[in-house]
Amino acid sequence: MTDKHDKIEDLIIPLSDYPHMPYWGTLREAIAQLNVTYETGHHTVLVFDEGYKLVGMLSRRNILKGLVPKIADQYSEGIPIFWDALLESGTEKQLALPIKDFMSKVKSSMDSKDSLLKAAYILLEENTVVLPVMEAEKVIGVVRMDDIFHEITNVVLKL
Amino acid sequence: MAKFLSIFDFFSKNRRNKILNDEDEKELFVERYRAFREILKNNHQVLMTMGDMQEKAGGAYLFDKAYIRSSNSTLLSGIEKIIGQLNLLSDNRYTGLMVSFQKCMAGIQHLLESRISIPQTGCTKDLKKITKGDIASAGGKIANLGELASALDLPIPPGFVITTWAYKSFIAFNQIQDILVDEIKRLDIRNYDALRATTDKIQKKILNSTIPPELENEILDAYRAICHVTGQDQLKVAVRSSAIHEDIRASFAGQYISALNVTADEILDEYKSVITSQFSPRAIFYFKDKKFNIENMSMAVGVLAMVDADVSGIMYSRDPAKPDEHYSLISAVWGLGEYAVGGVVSADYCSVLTENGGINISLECGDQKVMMVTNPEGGTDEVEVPRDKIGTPCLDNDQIKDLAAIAEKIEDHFGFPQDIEWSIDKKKRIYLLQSRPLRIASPALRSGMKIPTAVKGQTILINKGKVVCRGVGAGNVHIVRSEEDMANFPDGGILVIRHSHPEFAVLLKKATAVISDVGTPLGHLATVARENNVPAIFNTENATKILVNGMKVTVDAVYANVYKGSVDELLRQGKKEDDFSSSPVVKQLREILKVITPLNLTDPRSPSFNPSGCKTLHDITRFSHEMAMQEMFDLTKDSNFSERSARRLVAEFPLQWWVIDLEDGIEGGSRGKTVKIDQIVSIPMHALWEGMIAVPWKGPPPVDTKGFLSAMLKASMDPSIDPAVSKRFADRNYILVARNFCNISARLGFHFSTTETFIDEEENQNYISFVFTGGGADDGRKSRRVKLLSRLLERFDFRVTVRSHTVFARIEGYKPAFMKERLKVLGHIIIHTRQLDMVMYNDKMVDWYYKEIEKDILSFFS
Repeated sequence: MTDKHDKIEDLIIPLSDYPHMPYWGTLREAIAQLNVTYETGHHTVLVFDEGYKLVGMLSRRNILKGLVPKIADQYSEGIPIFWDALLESGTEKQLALPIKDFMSKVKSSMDSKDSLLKAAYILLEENTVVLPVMEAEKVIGVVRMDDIFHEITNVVLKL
Repeated sequence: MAKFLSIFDFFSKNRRNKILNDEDEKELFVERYRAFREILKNNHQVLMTMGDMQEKAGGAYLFDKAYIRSSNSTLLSGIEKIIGQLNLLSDNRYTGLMVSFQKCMAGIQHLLESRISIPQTGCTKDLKKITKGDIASAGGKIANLGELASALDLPIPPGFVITTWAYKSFIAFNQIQDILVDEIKRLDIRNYDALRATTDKIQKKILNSTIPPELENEILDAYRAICHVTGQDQLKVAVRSSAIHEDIRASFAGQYISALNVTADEILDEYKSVITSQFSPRAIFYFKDKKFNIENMSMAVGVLAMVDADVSGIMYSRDPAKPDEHYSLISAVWGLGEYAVGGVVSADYCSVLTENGGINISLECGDQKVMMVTNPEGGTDEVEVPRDKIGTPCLDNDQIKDLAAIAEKIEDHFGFPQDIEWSIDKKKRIYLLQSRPLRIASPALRSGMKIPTAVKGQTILINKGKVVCRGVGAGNVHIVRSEEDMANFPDGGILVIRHSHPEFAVLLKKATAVISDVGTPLGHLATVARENNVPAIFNTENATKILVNGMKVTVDAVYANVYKGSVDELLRQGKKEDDFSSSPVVKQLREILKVITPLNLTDPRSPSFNPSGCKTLHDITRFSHEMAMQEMFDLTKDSNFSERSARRLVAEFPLQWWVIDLEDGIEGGSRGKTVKIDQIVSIPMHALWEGMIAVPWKGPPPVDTKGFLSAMLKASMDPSIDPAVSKRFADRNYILVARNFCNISARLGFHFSTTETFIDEEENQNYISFVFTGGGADDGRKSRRVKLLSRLLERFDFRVTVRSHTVFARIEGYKPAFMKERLKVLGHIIIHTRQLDMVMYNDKMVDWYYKEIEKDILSFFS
C-alpha cells in the first residue's frame, strides 16, 4: 500500500459533480435536486451564498424534518399518518421556505491531503455522511462515508 | 447578432471619447440617443416607402414617372439620414456605408435617366401577332388590341402597327431629335403663349419632315397585305395613335388623334398627323408637368381596316356602380362609334346581368337622329338615321349576349374590368377596336374583383391575417421552426412560420406562399416576399398550430384566407398578370427596385455582413438598423455618469439602480437625488418592471458594492474572469430611460444582464435586446443555465443566440401590446434565472426549472 492510498484525494467527488444550491433556494427546489441526483448516490445538498461560500449542508434528514414537522408531532401523539394528511398539513407553505431554515451547519472540513482515517474519524465524530474538502478557502468537492468505508474495508480485507 | 463580443471583451474595451468628462457624458448620451431614435424612425419610413414602391410595381396600380422620382428621393434622403445618424452614434465607424450608398444611388440615377428603351424591331408588325407585352414597340392601345386576337382569338379588324422603332427612324432621318428635346426642355409650360408657339413650331417641323423611303415602303407593303387579306384593293383604314405612355390611364387618354376612313393616298400624311398630335400643347403640358423624360417621347401608330359599321358602341365589362356584381353595360349607336364615345347622340343603353349561366338584359332605347358613316371617297359624314331604324334597338338579344360574353372573356383574361370599343359591320360581324382597363373607384378592389371573398364549398382553415404580398398559391405546408427545417424546405412548399424573421428570406426563392403567426407587414421579410412576388399573409396568429406539415393548402393572399386542398377557382384567377405590368413605367420601376429591395444581408452572422456587403438600399437599411442597435447597446456599457445626472431609484427591490433620464422618461424632469418607480414614465421600463416584481424575489438582500466586490474576488472560482470584470462590480447599475426607451443593466454576483428596448406605436421600430452572461458555478452548470435561459426565451418568442456562457436574445417588429407582454416575461426571467447556475446539476434540473418558471410566467401572462 502506497502513501497515496492513505489519502482521501482519490475519493473526492468534485464540486461540479455534486448537488449544491444557494441558501435562498426553497425546500421544494432542494427536493427536486435530490430527486434528480438519487441515482448517483448523492443524498446531501451543499448550500452556498452568492459569493460561493459554503454556508451549510442539507441532508435527507433535514429535508424530511422540514417537510413533515406537523406529521412528526402527530405521529408522536399516536395519530396515524396518511398521504392526504401530508398534503393538507401546510406542506405547501413549508415547501416555499428557503433551505437556510432547515440546513445544518458545516462543523468540519477536510483538506485533500488528509488521510482516510482522519476522514473516518471526523465522520463518526460529527455523525455525518459527507464532508466538504477545501483548498485555499474554496470548496473543491466532498468525500462521502460510503466511499471512505469501502476503501477502509478493502484495506482491512487485505490484512 | 453580428458581433459576438464576449462580455469580457466589452468590459475591458477602452471607452470611447474619454476626453469627455463625466458631466458631459450624459449630454453626449442624450445626443446619441436622439440619433438612434432618428435612425429607427427613418428606417421605418424607408421600409414603408419601399413597400409602397413594390406594391406599385406589382402592376395593379396607377402611377407615373413623377411617382418614381418622388418616392425614390424620399428613399434616398431617408437612407442618407440613417447613415449620417449611425456615424454620429458610432464615432464614424461606418463611413464605408457612404460608398455603398453612392453606388446604389448612381445605379438608380442611371436607370431614372435612361430612356425607356425602344426595342429595335421592324417598322411595322401584323396586328394579329402583337401581344400585350409589346407595349414598348406597339404602344398601349394597339398592344392590348393585338392581345385580344393573339391570346383570345377574338375578332379585330385586319391591320398592322407602325412601331415606335419606325418613329425613331423617322425622327433620326430628319435629324430633329435634338431640336425637339431642346425646345421642350427650354419651354415654360406655365406660359401658355410660349407653349402654343413652341408646339406649333414643333408640329410644323414634323409635318414638313420626310418619311424615310424604307419606312414608306414598309408601310405601303403592310397596307397592301391587309388589302389582300380583306380582298379590297382600295381598302380604307383607320389610323390610330398608340403611345407608349397611353396605357397609364389618367395621362394621355383622348389626347392623341385618330383618323377614320383614310384612303391609301392619305395614309402617310395621316401617319405624320397622328405622331404630330404627341406635340399638342395639352400633351406637352402634361408630359412636362408629370416630369416624363422628353427623350422618351415616342409613338406607335395602328393602321386598321375600316369597319363599315352598321352599329357601334362601347361596353364596360362591369358596371362601375356595382363592381361586385356581374353586370356589364353596353351602349350602342347606329353607324360609326365616334358618336357613342363622344356622347353626341342619344344612344341605346343596356345592362346585362350574367349569373348562374343565365342572362338578364334590360334595355333602354335611345332616340338617335343622326349617325356617322364612312364616305366612299374617304373621311366621314354625318347623315340622318334611316326612318325604319329610328326607335328600334340597335342590337338584338343575341348580339347583346355575344357582346356581353366577349366582355366577360376579356375581363377574365386581363383580370380587370375593361372598357371596350366595338363595331358590327353590315354583315353582322362583330369587331373589337379597343380594350383598356376600366377605372373603378377603389383601386384596391380591382384586381381582386373576380375572386369572391370566400369560395363556396371549400373549407377555410384560416381567415385572418394581413396580406403582405398579394397573390394566390397552393402547395404543401412546411412549418419551419429550426435551421434543419430550413435546410429541408421543399421547392414549391408553403412556408409557415411563427415569426417573420429576415433569415427566412433565402426560402422565398422556393416557397409558393408564406404564412406567419406574427409578423411585420413592413419588415424585411415582407419586402423580400414582394420582391419575389410570393403571396404572403402575416399575423394569422396561429397558422403554425392549425396547419400541419404536408397538408395541401391554397393561400389566398388577396382576401387573407387559407383553404384546405387545392382551390382551382382561386388559382386560375391568381395567375392573371395585372394590367399595367407591361407598361414601360412599371418596367422602369421594377428595374430600379432591383437596386433597392433585394436583401443580400440576411444573416448578421455572415462575414459579408459589413458596409461593403451592402449591394442595395435595403441592405444598407438592414445593416444600419442592426448596427444602430448594437452601437446603442455598446454605448451604454462604455458610459459613465456623474452623480449629478443620475438619481437613485427608490423601490422595494433587492438591487440598487441609478436612473438617467434621456428624454421625457421621468415625470417632472430630472431634479432631485432620488426617483420613485411611479415617477418613471418610460413605457418599456414599466413593462419590464412589472415582470420583475410579478413574483417575489427570494434571492439575497442587497449588498453594498464594496462588500460584494471583496466577497466575489475571494470566492472567484473562475480563473478566466478578467480583472476588468471586477471593476464593473464597483460600478453602479444604471437604468437609462426615455419615454419609449429603456436600457437597464443588472449585475449581481457573477451575473450580468443588460436589456435594451424601444417601444412605440410604429411596430417596425420596436425591439427588445437582451444579453445575459457570467455565473459563478462550473462550466457545466453555467452551460445548463444558458440552456434554460435560451429555452425560456425561445418559448416566449425571442430569437436566441448563445456564445459560450453568454445568451443574446432579441425580439423586434411587433405591436406595442405584444412587446410589453414580452418585456414582462423578460423581467421575470432576468430576476428568477440569475444565480440559478448553482442548481443546474444536470439536464433534468434544466427541465425542472423550465417547467417551474414557465408555469410562473403563464400565471401572470394572459
